[in-house]
Amino acid sequence: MPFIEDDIYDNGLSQIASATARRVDICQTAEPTTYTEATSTNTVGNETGLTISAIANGDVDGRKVTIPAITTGSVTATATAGWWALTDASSVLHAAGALASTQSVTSGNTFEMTATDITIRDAA
Amino acid sequence: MKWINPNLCSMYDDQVRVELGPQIIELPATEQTIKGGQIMPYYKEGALDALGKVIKICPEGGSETIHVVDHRQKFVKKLWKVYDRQKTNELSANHDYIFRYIKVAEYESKDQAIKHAKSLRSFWQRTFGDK
Repeated sequence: MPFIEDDIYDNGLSQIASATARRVDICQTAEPTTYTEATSTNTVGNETGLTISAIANGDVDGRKVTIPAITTGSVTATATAGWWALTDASSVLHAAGALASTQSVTSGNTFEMTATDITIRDAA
Repeated sequence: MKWINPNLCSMYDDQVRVELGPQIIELPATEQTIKGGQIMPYYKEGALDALGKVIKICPEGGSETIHVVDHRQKFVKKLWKVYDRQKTNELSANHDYIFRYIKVAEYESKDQAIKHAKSLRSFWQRTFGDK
């Protein structure tokens, strides 16, 4: 499960599902800790205009939304990507996590990313 | 100076930003650290830590460490981070230089961070003068 920002715990997954703009960045150097790092300092590629799934039951329990698979993300710098970040494309870092492994990317190419669930689990 | 949200301030035509965020900290890579509930569950054995190293659990007293983002401030406070938009040596696909917000300072105090940010002469100002 990735990092999930406090507003999503406070207001639920609709915070993501109802957002009108969303952007996923792939990042280098270190896991992004702010919106600025996710979309500028550490970004090496991004995809915008994503349609997040409706809220559904989690795979194990709880509730989830799903970031759809990305097939034509734009690589904007030549580097090694190790993390992904979901933002509102405006000012808020919603969620972030590590890629399964680091990946070298080349500016001007496209990147792919499998669908990613963001789940709030039931209380233990 | 414009507050885009309560945690993000933009200055000088968005050439300088101040944003509140968690710190990346170094901890011993022990079972107690990784499975003890103090860090996010996605920092697990085999996954990447916050600096890109594959996480391996080491015995108590070992020297291996992991880096994690302390999102919930269990170890250290969030800081106000000051970013200056600067030209890097990286080239885009169009062979233009890439500009990035580079972190130049961080403070516990929002006022100190704002003061530092105000003292920065942004690229925009250096190029075109004060506006």
